[in-house]
Amino acid sequence: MNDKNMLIPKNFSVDEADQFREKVNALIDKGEKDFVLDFNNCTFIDSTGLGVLVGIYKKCMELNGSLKLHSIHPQVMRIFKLTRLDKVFEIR
Amino acid sequence: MGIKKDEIILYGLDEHKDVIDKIITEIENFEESFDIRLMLIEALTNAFKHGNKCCVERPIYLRYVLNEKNIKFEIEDSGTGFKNINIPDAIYDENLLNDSGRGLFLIKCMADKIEFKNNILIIQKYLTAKKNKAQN
Repeated sequence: MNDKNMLIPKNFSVDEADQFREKVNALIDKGEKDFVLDFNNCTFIDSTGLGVLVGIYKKCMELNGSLKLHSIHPQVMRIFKLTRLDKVFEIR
Repeated sequence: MGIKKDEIILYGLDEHKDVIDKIITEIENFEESFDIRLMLIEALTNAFKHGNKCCVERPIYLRYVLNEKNIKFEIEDSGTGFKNINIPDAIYDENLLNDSGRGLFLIKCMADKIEFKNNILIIQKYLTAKKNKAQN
């Protein structure tokens, strides 16, 4: 099984998050269902970004795929914890 | 640093990041820039989507007053006002995987005070001066 590696943009909010959603949705339409999201460049996330991740997570789960997140900056991790999404996503 | 105040009028969200960047530059000597960026993005996105129903011809007023101890924002949209707003203290299990609905919750988490007056959201945040690295 090949995981699809994706780099999360620096500012994962509003427009950037919407663009990322479209990119992932296109990949899912092509048959991808296992994603690894690299947060190394990402220093900011908002509720739109969180909503995009939740949407991707739900699609992957429906397809018996997987979603893994890694290299999350402390401020971004704080937002995952506040919204309890750190308990939902597989974070390395 | 004296008192600084300003009012910015936005139509749609095309320029909201530039406006927020400018405000963040003004508070670059404080620790709270991440929280303030998040609160403003959430508040302006809400004002545009829910208050102004995504209409780019309706104004959003962003007012702020800044001094060395705190910053207060007023975000006024062109809608009919906040009604029956009840922001939970936590995201509960049944809402954990909702696609949306985290914006106001995050503002409440980041703010020291949040208040709704008709179609105006008022947010207050205390500021902490950054320690001078040379002194550490």
